[in-house]
Order: sequence, then structure tokens, then C-alpha cells
Amino acid sequence: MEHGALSDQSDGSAPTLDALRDCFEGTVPAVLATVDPSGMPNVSYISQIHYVDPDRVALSYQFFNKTRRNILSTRTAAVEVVDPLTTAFYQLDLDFETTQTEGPLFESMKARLAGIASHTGMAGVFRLMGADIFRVRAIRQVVTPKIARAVSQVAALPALRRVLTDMARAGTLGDLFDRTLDSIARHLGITNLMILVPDDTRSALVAVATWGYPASGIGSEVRLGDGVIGVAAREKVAIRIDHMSTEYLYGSAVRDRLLADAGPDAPEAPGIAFPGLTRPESQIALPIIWQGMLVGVLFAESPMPMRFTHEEEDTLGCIAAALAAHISALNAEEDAEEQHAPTRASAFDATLAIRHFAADDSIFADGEYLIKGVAGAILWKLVRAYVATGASEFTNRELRLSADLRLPSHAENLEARLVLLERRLREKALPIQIEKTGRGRFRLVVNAKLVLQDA
Amino acid sequence: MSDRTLHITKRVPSPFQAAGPIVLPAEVVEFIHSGVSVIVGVVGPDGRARAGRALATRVLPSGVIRLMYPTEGNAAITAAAQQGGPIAATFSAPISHRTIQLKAPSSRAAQLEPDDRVCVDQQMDAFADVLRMLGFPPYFLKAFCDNRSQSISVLSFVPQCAFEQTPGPGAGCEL
Repeated sequence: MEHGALSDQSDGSAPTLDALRDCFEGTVPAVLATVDPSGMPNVSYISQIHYVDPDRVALSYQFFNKTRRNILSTRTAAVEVVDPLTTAFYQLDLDFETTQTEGPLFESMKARLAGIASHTGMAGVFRLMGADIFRVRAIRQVVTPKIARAVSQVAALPALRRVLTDMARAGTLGDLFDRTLDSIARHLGITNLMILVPDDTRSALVAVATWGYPASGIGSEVRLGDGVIGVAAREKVAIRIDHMSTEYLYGSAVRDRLLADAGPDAPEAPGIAFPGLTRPESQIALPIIWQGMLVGVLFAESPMPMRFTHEEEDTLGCIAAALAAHISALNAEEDAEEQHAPTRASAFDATLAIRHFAADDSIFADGEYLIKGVAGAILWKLVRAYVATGASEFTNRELRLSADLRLPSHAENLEARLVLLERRLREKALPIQIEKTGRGRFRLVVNAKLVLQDA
Repeated sequence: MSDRTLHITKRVPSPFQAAGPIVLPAEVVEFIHSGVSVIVGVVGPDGRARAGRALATRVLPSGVIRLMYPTEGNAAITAAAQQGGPIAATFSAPISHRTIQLKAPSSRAAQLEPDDRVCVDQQMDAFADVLRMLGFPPYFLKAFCDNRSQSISVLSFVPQCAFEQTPGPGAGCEL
């Protein structure tokens, strides 16, 4: 890239694309100029400029218009952007490379465009047809900053350092999830947070830890592809919306679809209510990826518009990466040998009826919905073993090797399922609980006579 | 800009060269004078497009359009006007999204006239009100309004084409 041919940066350095990302937040609309093969210019506003990497940006392609024809014929464009914090102006010379009509970059831009459209009254008019990717050939600062950049209330790097330090103290997966959210809230000031883990057998994500909601919502589900969480998981890319769009709002519409999908034979309760904000304005979802595999989603939201900028996205992205590494490390369990000596079930006055629906492995305890999916199947296996043999000590290993559980091949999901199950049992205060007894080991603590019903 | 594009630019005659000047309807002139955003596209010496922003517009009874723009940051526009280069100017109302683009095969640099200054003051005041309604913070509004105390340049052109550019499938239709 040729930097700053006309640059008048006071320190003499050329502006880089990384330093210009505030200009791409959409606060001040960017101007796009193109030229046709006859040399006639065309000028319009561009809804969205997306930072791709230090050398490339993507522009939203929404209509096949003169701008589009010019780009395809001359393969060049120019944009002028404004830094909303300093009012400095920059001009970028662009060389067109390609158009993407699907995939992570496309989905990321599509989600943000939906927010922009909603915010500007253009819902139904703005529709992303493609992400036009351009190499940035030159950057010029053409108007110097008139305002000193405001000092951020949160210095991201030291805050990130404190969060990562807190995370490193976690001894168990559940502890890791809680510490992470607590630390993000304290050090980054983001107060509505969730961690969800994928349930690969059902194309869904399940909340295992939440922060800042009236109801914990642990065990609530998001379908793959629904809302910013579902799209981030499906595409394994960060999805950020600065102004909420009904298209991405995870609310009653999605819940209705879950009910419809479940069909008439499904158990009477559809699950646990999603705990998200009723009227969020900003949302961000970061995929948690380890060795190319999705192991979770870190999600944050706010009732304030434009709450999350590129800097928050970077910071939360680092935390998501650290989460992936810690999840993997905590799952590198010393595979405990099966060691449960059968113990006789004690005599209890109270009984607990546990009903299992094989269709989706949902479990109801005394008629109330508890859990479903892989976590439901695990609980059903444990209680059957307990009732049959009195066994209460179990290992992760035996669960992983169990053919009837249909567990995903990677261990991360099993441990996360156990965290989910443990939390749901605790939240419902049932006379059956799970306690970790060591790495790769746990105990089923039963304080009632179990009555099992397989529906 | 590739050599290939330069080559095409030289060889292909502009279809706009054959068109004649157009007279804008009074309603469109009123819209342009109402305090809207004005963005400008020109072509640099390398054949690549250049983008810029103007502060105000004056439509003369003869149909000539005068654009007043900040000198700072718009060297490409000034250079294009001094060389009589082609121009595109788009006028947009941020709240209604109504947008119109005018194009001309040539432009020329001009001197700031007292009536230009009146237009700058009136239209910037009106547009500042719009920015305020859109929620732009005071420091941003001040930076915008400070432009009127800075050096202002002027260019003029006679539009040969006018296009409807309001976002949507109808964008691009000739008025």
C-alpha cells in the first residue's frame, strides 16, 4: 500500500488502515466515488465499509447500479471517511479484488447492514447482495484532526490483562465461565454477558453461564443460524450489530419457531426462556474456536446503541481465544479409571419422578422441565445406573465411551455438558445434584427415591 | 489506476458530451437549496475517481450550479475544476433519504461571491440543525460549523444529467 502521498500527519507517519477503524463504525457516512470507462465520475454514500485486514476493506454491494457497473468495469474506487472522534478526513484509493456472496465476511457485513438499515429506516430496502473486497492502494489524510481524541473510560489493554489474569486462576470449567464473565463485567464495564456451548447433536447452542439478567437462563437455547449468536456460531466469525434489527432480535419469533419445530409430539414445555435483554441496541457474539472447532460463543449486549466498537471486538476476541485455550487445558483430564464401587441406595421418605423423552432426550423432574439434548441423555444414563446398581461415582471417560450417549467426539463438549447439567440441577434445587470429585470424576448426590419413567 | 483503465479513458468518448444542459425543476432547486449534504466526485490526473464534500450550493437562474466547498481537504476537486474536468455532485437529505445526483462533463473554478456566502450561511445552519436532530455531538457540530470561517473555494458547472438516487431499486433513474 502506498501510504499518505498527501499525508500531513503531524508526526510524519503515514496513516494505516488499522488506525482508521473508528472511521468505519458508520457514525459519519462515507462517500464513495467511482468512474466509468468514459471518464465520468459517480458519487454516492456507502452504507458500510468493513475492515477486512490491514490491507483490505469490503464495501457493501446492495443494488446493481451505476456504482456497481463502474466498479466492475474500471475495478477502482475511492472513498472518503471521517473519524467521528477527531473529525479528521481520510481518502482511500481502492482496487477491486472480488465479491463474496456467502461465508463469514458476508454474514458479518449482512448482520451489521441489517442494524444500519433498521436504524436509518431502510429495513426492507437495504439488502446485502455481496461484499465487494478491495485492496487499499493509498491512504491520505486530507483534513487534519480538529479535536483531540477523547481518552477512553476503559483502557482496553490493561483491562484485558486483568481479565486474562483472573481467567488463569480458574480450576474448573464452571469456575472459568463464571470468572470470565465476572471479570469482563468488572474490568470492561460490559454488564450483559453469556457463554453458550454448542450441542452438535441438535444444531443448537446452550447457555452455560450468564451475567446481568434477572433470570439466569442457564440451559436456554439458540438455534444455529438464529440471531447474532447463531450466525457467529454457524460462520465461526465475530458478529456485531450497533443498532438492533428485528431480523437478528432473538425473541418471541424464534421461540415460536422452536415450538413449531418441536412438533405436536414434543413435551409440553419448550425449554428455558432466553434471558437476553428485551430491547437491546448493541450485540456482539464472538466464536470460541479451538483447533478450528467451535467450542462456544461469548456474547455481550447493551441497551445502548453503538456500545461495541472495533476495540471491544478485539478485546472480547482475545478473551474468546483465551477461553478456547483454557477450556482445552481444563479438559485435558487425567482420564480417571472407572472406580465406582456400587453402594446401596439409602432409604428416603421423599421421591423424585424423573421422566425421559427419547425424541429429544428431554428430562422432566416431578413434571417440570429440566434439561434436554446431550445433557439430558447424560442425566438419564446416570440415574438409570444409580437405580440399577446404586452407583454414584462416575468418570468422564466412561461417559465418553458410552455408545448410547451419542456424544460429540471432542471432550470439550462433554465437560461443558456436565457444567450445564450441574447448574440446572442446582438452580432447580432438586434432591439430586452433581459434584465434581476430581479431574474427570464426579459424584451423583441423591437425596430422594428416584422413580424413572421412559416416555 | 492501471494503464489499461487510462487507455480506456482516453479512447472512449463520454456519452455526456453529446447531451445538452438541463434545467432543474423549481422543486428540485428548492430541495438543493434546503440545507442538504453535498458530496462530490471528480477524476484525478491518474484517471481514478476522487471523493469530496461541499458545504452549500447555489443554483443560478441560468441553470449553472455553483458548489462552495472547504479548500482544506479538497485539493483533488480544486485541481479537477481548474482543469475543467467532469464532475458528479450528489445532494441528499439524511432524514428523508431523498437523493439526487447531477453530472456534467466539465466544471470550472470560480471566485466566492457575496451571494455564495449567503447560501453557505443559510444552508450550513439548516444542515447543522439536521445533524443535531440526528444526534451528532456538539463537538462534531462545532467542527462542521467552523468550516465557514475557513477558506472556501467555489466551482461551477452546467448539469447535463440528473438522476434519482434515493436508496432503493429506483435509484439511478434519470429525472
